[in-house]
Amino acid sequence: MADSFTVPAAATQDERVFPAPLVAGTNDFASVTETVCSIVEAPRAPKAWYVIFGIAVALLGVLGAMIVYLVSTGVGVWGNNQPVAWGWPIVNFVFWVGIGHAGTLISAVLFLFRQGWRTGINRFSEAMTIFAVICAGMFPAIHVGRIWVIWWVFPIPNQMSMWPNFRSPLLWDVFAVSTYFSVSLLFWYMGLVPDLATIRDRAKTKARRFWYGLFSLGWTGSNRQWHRYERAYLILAALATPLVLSVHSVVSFDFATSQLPGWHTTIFPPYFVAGAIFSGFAMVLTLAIPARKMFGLEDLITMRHIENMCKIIMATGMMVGYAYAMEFFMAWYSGNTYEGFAFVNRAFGPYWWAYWIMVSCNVISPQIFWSKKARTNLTLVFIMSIFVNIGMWFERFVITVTSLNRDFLPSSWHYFSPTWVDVLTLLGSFGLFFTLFMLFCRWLPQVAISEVKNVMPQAHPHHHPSEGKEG
Amino acid sequence: MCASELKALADELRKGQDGAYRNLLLLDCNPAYDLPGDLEFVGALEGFRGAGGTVIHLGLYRDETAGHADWHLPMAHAFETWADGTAWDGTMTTGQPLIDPLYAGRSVLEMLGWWTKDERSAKEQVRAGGPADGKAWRRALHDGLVAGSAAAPLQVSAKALPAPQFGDLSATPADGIEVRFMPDRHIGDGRWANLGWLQELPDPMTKLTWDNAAMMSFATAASLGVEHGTMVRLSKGARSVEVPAYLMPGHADGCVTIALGHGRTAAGHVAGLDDDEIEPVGFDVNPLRAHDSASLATGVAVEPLGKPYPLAVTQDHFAIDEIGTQGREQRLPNLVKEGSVAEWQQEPRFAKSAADYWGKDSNLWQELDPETDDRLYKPKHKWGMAIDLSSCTGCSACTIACQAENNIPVVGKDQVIKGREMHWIRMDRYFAGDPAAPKVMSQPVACQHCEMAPCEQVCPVAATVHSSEGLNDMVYNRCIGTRYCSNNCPYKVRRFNFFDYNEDADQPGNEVMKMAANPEVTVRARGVMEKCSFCVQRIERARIATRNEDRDSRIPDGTIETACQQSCPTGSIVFGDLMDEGSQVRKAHENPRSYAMLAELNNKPRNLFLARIRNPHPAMPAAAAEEAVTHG
Amino acid sequence: MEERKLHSVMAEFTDVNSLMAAAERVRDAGFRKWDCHTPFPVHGLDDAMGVKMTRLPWIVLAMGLTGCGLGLLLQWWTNAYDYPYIISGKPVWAIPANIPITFEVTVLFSAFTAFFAMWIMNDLPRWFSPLSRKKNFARATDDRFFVVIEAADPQFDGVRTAEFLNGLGAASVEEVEMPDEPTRLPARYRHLLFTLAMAMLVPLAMIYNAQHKTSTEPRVHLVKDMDKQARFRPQGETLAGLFADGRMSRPRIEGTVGRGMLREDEGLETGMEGGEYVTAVPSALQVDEDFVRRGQERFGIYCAPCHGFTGKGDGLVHQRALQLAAEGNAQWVQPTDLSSALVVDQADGRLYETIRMGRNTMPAYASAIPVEDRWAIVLYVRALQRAAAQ
Repeated sequence: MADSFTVPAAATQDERVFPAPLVAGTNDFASVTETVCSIVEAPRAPKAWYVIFGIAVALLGVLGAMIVYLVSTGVGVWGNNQPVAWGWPIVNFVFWVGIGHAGTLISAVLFLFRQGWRTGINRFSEAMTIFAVICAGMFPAIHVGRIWVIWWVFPIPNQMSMWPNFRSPLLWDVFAVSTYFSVSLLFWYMGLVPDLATIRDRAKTKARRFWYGLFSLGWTGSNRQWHRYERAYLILAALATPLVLSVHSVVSFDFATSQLPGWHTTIFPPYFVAGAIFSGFAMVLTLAIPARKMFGLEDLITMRHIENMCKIIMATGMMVGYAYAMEFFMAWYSGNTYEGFAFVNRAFGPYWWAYWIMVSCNVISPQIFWSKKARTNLTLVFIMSIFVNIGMWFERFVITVTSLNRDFLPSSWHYFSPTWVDVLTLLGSFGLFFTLFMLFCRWLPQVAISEVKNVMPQAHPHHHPSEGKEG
Repeated sequence: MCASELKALADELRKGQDGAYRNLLLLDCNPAYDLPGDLEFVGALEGFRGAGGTVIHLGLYRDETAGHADWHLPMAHAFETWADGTAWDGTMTTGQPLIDPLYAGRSVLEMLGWWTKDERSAKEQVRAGGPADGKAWRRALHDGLVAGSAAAPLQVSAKALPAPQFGDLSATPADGIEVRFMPDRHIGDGRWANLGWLQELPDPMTKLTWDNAAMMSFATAASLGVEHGTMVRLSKGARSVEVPAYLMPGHADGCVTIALGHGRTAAGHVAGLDDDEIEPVGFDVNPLRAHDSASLATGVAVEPLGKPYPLAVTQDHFAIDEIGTQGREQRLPNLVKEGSVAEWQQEPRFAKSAADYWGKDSNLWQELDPETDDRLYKPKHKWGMAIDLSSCTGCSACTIACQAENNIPVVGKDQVIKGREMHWIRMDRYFAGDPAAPKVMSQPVACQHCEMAPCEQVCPVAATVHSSEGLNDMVYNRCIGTRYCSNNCPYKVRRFNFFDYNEDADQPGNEVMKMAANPEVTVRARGVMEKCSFCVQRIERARIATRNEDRDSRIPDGTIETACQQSCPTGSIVFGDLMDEGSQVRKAHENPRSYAMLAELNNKPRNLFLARIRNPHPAMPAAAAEEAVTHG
Repeated sequence: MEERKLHSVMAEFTDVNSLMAAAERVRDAGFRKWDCHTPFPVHGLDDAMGVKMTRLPWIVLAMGLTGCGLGLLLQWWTNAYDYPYIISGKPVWAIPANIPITFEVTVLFSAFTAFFAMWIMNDLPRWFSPLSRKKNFARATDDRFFVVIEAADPQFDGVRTAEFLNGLGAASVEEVEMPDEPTRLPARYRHLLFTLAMAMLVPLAMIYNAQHKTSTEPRVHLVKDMDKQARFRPQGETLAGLFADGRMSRPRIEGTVGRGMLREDEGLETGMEGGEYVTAVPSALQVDEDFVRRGQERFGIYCAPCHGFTGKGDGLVHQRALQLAAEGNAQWVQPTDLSSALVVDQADGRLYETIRMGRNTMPAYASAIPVEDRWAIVLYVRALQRAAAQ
């Protein structure tokens, strides 16, 4: 029998000496399978699921209504104006794309760094990535004035013999975000296949056997297949790493390649990427902390996982704070009146309140995670993760709106206020996200079963194979 | 009519049958609205009618007066009728119709003819007053006046008059506030209130649209406890009006200025129509006027009511906080360049910055040159424009001309408050210095047609590209509306169609609105970006005409006039071909006063400004203020 | 009991250690067609089995480089070659601007290749496997480990192989039969898929049909955009309610004179003065060689098609008309010979009037030829007449 040893779920030992196990409690392979698959196989979901799903679907309906209203009436239903031609929809776009990056980071980058603890949360966060990118991709599509011709951004031969302008950062965005979505989807699905096979093999009903069987592609766990599979996984991880860095850099180019003071800085790509990881991890925490309780996954998503995520949040939060300070320093040091004014305006102008919310949520509040007590207090971590995302939304708001609202010519300075359509569209996007996420929680394995098994002590053979003939 | 005559008329009318009149003909006027309130002309009219008198009104609209008349007859517009007139020196002038009447109205001449049983048509009446000879008559119609018909001057001798005695001239009135009533700079006394173009054209000084407001100085407002954008009650005796307050830099203390022509109740669907429950635009201040002080009222009490009122101002100027004010003061000398005569004499190129001298080698790359690059069209012209700030008065005629020429929609007050007005060329007006006695700077800003346009780079679908002749072309039917070009334009001259602003014209019954559109210019749909095109339709028209005649491809300077250039009363705007050595615009570009706005961004605009030279008399207080601001 | 064909023999193990040891033994025994089935990839099992490194990374590299090239090619061909336009005065081809998309396309191609090539090389999807019939095998994706040796292996022997596996410490050893049920999709699913495939052709057929047929009805136009604009076209029509004649272009009012339309010089404009044809080109025009050459050029454009380059009336139109008349398809009168005595005797003003107002079957050219050019043509006609007389 496989050996197992008991560790209390909440214990976290001094990690320099003896890292806490990645799978807590009395668990062996079968119990891991049972823990995760039983959620999918349960005849009824937990009550809380129905409540959240109901709210999410309602918000999704609101989103649909807002989009219909927008497309039939015009972009003017939002608060956009001259000069603030980009308002909440672009802020929401960058917000959602940023959140998406954490998933790829956990899947790909932590894999390359051989961080075993990623296995408890990677399925979760990859799903979050995909749903966040869906929400993100929706916003540029609906924010254009003529949605019915948005296909012109693609280099499809047409009767006008026109091609898109590949020098435009928005077009780089199109390619980057679509590539990011496709690659993340492929990566996520690839990871799902063995787990879907697990569910297929446990399936009691014909329907379940059919659908999970269809999507598991007939996977049987053959080692020769695992061999190529692992290679492909490594390659995708290696590709996804520069991809995630490039995608948010390209999104930052939407701002950085323009001439506006406050936008036109080279710090944007690394600053945005750090910020994306920051907000993404916060969202993973926001989702993981309730989900592990609701679905009984405490042994697989342990305090060690939570603490590591808090540390990453703190690190990226400090990077973001450094970027804020650097921007201010450069604005002053450059001697450029427009640039200097842009930053003084951010902090003390008509949007000072947004700026200070941003700073307090992003720079000051994550400092609480220096304390281990704070890191292990689940309620506190949950609240902090929400603060971080609020702060990150405000960061994008401050960047977008303050630079536009007061730029070069004072005659075009104008205030921006959102309309109710702006607000409901943002809420609706959360509805879209949570609808998809709840469906994921209910029908797909939330934890990467095979990968978690791989990091359990029982998975490592004591036996070292000898070299032999090829077979 | 002078004030006393008006009063006499009103009194007579009130007498009804006992008075001197049985019928009252009101031809092309609107006394029920625009006469001073103390005459209570509406009451006079109604009293007249009630006592058996007949009121007949001939007018373009079923306006306030028509509402109190027995008969309202539609008048044909001046563009639809034959007319004549007399110039100041007695010369007979002629007026011809441009088009058959749209609504079968009658002209004033025809009306008077009918009243006096003159059977002749207006055309015959006017012809009868002109020269008998047909050729001379045709020339008179062509020129607009009958040459040689001026009255002979009289010999007069001047009588010596005693020197004028002025009473006590104090800077501020002794009691109460003085209220000056001025005809609105755009809609006059109210007769053009129903023209959306004019309602939306920002007032040159206040930049206010769609409303009138009581302008007062900061000091006066502070002493009265009035805040900008709140309602105040102006009252004199029993009469009062409630209007919003506008704090105006440079306004005289102790005085309030307010425009007439607003608050009409029967102007039309644009400016107010009680019958159709359309709210009046602006505030009617005629009730406060007295017939003997129709343009100035003294001893008026101003009471702040505190209620905020949204004013649709296109430039949030001094409502800006301290940081904004500082920012503005910092950069103004760089944007709107001015100098004194002495400065100019010492260094004629004082307005130029280092960036103005950057040439082709300012870039890290090989610049595209359509003249030598085989992949691009060879340009036959190099279009450019120059705007002389010295002669620009800030009147905004260019704005309206552009709106008329290019089918620019009117967006309405709510949209202007949101900041979505659509004017392609706008008149920027800045105050600099002490708010009590500021320097005013006006600058018309249209698309600069930059050679290295920041907007072109960022459009994902190449909806805005550069023509080889130097025009930044906005291609409406390619635009998908991402609005990045507007973000990247440092001059913010790009306008976005947030809604379908032209949908009214498609409603049944509104066909005639389509006639207002220039058939040579696209009417833009919802969701596309638009901006100044250097009147490309006029350029193309000239090019086609030249090509039709197979003339040398050089189009003579002056053949193409952009709409703004054509309408500018001082000739500040010049447009033409920079390749043509003798062209006005080439001379303007070579003028040492010329500079590019925001040249340091290396956009290389084709639209240069000529710095303003201020030349106040050294003894005037303005000269001292001038010194302080220019070098502050 | 019927003799069933064997597919393979399957051995179940309870932990990785025993699996590893067994795998080595199987490898060393020389089997080729065999595999292990595990719920997760076991480290070291590749070596224990003797599995060689896959070629997948090389395939990905090749496709990645292809993607890189294609990305660059796409941008170069569309923006720099097929339809170059001036954007911001920047060079038509500049690599720095093209790097982001090239990078993304490289990653896209590489990733898709890694994904799809992996499945293809793994021979998946394969929705049926004989192993799935065995109840125990369901734990292959849960917590048990299996070694399967296929019957197709040359060293396979039904009994001895099973004994061999038993000796490796397996928890159980079973035989796996070949299925005798059809492994193809059941008929109803095949029919359904076929119907769906056919149904997908219908929209394509409709599109093809619409593109190759004409109709008097306007096309279905969901979004009007700027195809219908709130303005009137110069030659367009309007509702009768606005103008009785329904025209948008309004005629000039009788008796009005527009700026620049005075046309006082009757002789210049009409060729007549006081009811008489003028006998010389009006003095307002400067007559010199350039003027006559202009007339020659204009004559060649407007007059020569009918009257011929020499004015004899033998232009291309005339020749074509003769052809048609010979076939009985036209009735034709030859254009006037401009050097004939009839025309030579006409006053200059009459020639001008002919150009301006037309004559007999010749249409009026007033709208095509401006005033000055008409007089230039008159002068050139005179030159032709003088040449003919010599």
